[in-house]
Amino acid sequence: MIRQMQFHWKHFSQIALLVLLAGLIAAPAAADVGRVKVAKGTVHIERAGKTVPVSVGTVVQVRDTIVTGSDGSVGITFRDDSLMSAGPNTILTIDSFAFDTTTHAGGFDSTLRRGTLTAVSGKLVKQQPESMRVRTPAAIMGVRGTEFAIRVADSAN
Amino acid sequence: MRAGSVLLTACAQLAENGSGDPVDRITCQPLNNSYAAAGSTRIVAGITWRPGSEILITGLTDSVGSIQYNDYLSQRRAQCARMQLTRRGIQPEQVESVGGRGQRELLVPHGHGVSEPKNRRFESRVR
Repeated sequence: MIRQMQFHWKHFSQIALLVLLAGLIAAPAAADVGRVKVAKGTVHIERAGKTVPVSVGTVVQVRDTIVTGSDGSVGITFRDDSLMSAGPNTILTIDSFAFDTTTHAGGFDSTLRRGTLTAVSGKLVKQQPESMRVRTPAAIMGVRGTEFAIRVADSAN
Repeated sequence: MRAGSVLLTACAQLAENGSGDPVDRITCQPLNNSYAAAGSTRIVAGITWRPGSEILITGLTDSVGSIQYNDYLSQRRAQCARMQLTRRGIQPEQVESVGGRGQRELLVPHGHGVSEPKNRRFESRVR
């Protein structure tokens, strides 16, 4: 009986250690949904009223608005492996992003206000067609295939 | 390295304590061999080499047991792999995701309830 107790305590202490270490190794914040892989020219992110400079490795979060200048372009990889590439003079907002790494269920909504966007859909669309949606001033696109390109002309032009 | 071996034990023991299933017990052990060491070294090298890169860790199981249990087991397997990789030099912030796919992605396809060591694995990808 005593032996059995000791056995359990050994497990307990090891589990406690594991839990402690798991806490120390912080998981990425849920708000981080993508990462900049390529950035050229003038690119920044508007986040909660602030301007965040963009370089390779910059994290993209929900509700970020990605803005490129006349010489700018940016490539972002999202958690579900979907890729977005924005050309010059683009304003792109990440409205929402949810991705379950176990089931691959979720949804990805973005808005292209201006400029060009080419994208390759990822695991979300593979699991559930049209779980990725891109809103433009003219229409909402539900993505069924793998690759697409959109251009929104500047209304000032 | 001493701390690392403690981690490995803790992980294996947790698995053992979890269900008593021998399939669980061996999950963390293959990581502690030369093959896993070489693989980890490749991953560390790959992530260091690519600017702005990140690592994704996915745990997977064979088709023995319920879907729910295998989801849970695969997630634990991925956590175990993360500990191994951070021990070998991966920075925690470079780990983009740690998830389990349960029995959804069998390496060796077969029907339900077949014990297959090749399906009990984790995959780590640098992107």
